[in-house]
Amino acid sequence: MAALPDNPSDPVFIRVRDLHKQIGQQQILKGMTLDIPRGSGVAIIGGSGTGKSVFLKLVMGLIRASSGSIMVDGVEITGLNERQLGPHRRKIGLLFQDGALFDSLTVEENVAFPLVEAGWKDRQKIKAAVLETLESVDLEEHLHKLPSDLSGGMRKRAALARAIITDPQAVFYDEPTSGLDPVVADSIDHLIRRTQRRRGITSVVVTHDMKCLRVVADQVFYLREGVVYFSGTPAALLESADPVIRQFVEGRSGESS
Amino acid sequence: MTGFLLMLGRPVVDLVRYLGELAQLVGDVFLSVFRHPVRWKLVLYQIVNIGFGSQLQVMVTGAFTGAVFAAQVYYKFNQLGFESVVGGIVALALCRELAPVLTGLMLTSRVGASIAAEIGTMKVTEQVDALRSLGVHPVDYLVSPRLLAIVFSMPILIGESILMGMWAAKLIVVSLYGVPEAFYNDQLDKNTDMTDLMFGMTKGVVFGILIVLISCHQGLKVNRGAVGVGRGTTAAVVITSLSILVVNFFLTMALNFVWPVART
Repeated sequence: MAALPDNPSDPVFIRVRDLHKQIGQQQILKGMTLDIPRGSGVAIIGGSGTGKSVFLKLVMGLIRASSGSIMVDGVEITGLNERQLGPHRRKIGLLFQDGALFDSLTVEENVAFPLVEAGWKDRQKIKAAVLETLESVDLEEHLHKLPSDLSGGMRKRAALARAIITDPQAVFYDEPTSGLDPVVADSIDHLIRRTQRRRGITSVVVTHDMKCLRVVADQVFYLREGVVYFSGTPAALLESADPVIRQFVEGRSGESS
Repeated sequence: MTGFLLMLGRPVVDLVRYLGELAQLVGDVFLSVFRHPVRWKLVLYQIVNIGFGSQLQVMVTGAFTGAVFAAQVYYKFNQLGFESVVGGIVALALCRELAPVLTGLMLTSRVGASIAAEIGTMKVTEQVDALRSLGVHPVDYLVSPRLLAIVFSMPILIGESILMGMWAAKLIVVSLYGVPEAFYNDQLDKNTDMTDLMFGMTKGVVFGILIVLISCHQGLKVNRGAVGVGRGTTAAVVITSLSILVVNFFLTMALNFVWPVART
């Protein structure tokens, strides 16, 4: 069931070169270049509006790059049309900021959705896979609830279950802990790390939560003014003496009251 | 001068862009229906939602339109001594114009608005992007099933509307105004045939396609949150209603060559 790599010998899963993205009059990305290693936990951080979520959508092919190259699993995706992007997208699970669960479907139907779309016919097998995945996110007791009946944390867990049920090669998380209380946020952080390690998948987490990045990341990319300003381990980021990074890490606005 | 040209040119550019987007959607739907597996379960769900769910509205509309039209025609034709022709005239008008146009307009308000609002809400809550991220083309999942459902449902709805209209007209003309039933039926037979029914059903299918395409297009291009959903829904209803009225004229002209009015 797992999406097979097109280029398993390549240690780099995502290779981005000189990526530009303009939305309206605003230049969001201005030549972003980075490599995301296969099987690693990567965090992309940066202030609001620096293009973190835009980057995820570009790599998923949900929006088009203005220029530059995006190679995913050895395939250049910038020239692919909507239908050609289908197989590429199935290699990657995406957890949206608000979950983006289908609100007319129950939790069970939401999580089963990728399997049904992948052509699974056996209802028993689908049900078993859904239960197993929901157990891995501690949500097995809420099968028949609608998304509107779930709390924010539960919605994110259900969305994560939907994202990982097909065993994708990578999972992208768009601000997975935003709007959650610290305890639930911590449990989501550990769930992301556990999922990445247990399944050996590449995880890319967009966040500006320093606590989250300590848990989920082997490598951090700090975006500033549309380019990668810093790349390194979480420890290197937290110990950096660079004043720009220190200000971000310590959450100082530079204003006094 | 530039301002004047811009003022003149912008609506034209907007119209051309809009028609281009609609043509692209038509192309996507064509590919989706003929080159990719159809989700029949969703089609059935939409038939229930669009077709079955609209029956009461369509039948009530048909019945009262038939009744009112019969009453109006009777008043005039009675003065001329042609009251027995009323059934034929009403049936002809119902089959060829009233049933398809009014059913189209009623479905625009019920189905078109609902489609635009539902898809628009899915768009602003990233559910459409979630579909795409799962490798599902939104047209395959959201547009094609609705289009097929309305294509299957429209002829039945038009038929129901015509039947109800004719039943109500007969009730008024025969039971209320006392026109002999045999005369009424005779004129009905002489003035109408199956081609009139085909005429109306063809129109209904075309209007149904317009309702789904325009409403889905408006839903899929929604942005700017709740305000955008509201605007998209309004635009869907207004554009579809106007399109039905405009297309109806050209369709009438064209279909009259294919199925001319029967000679008495």
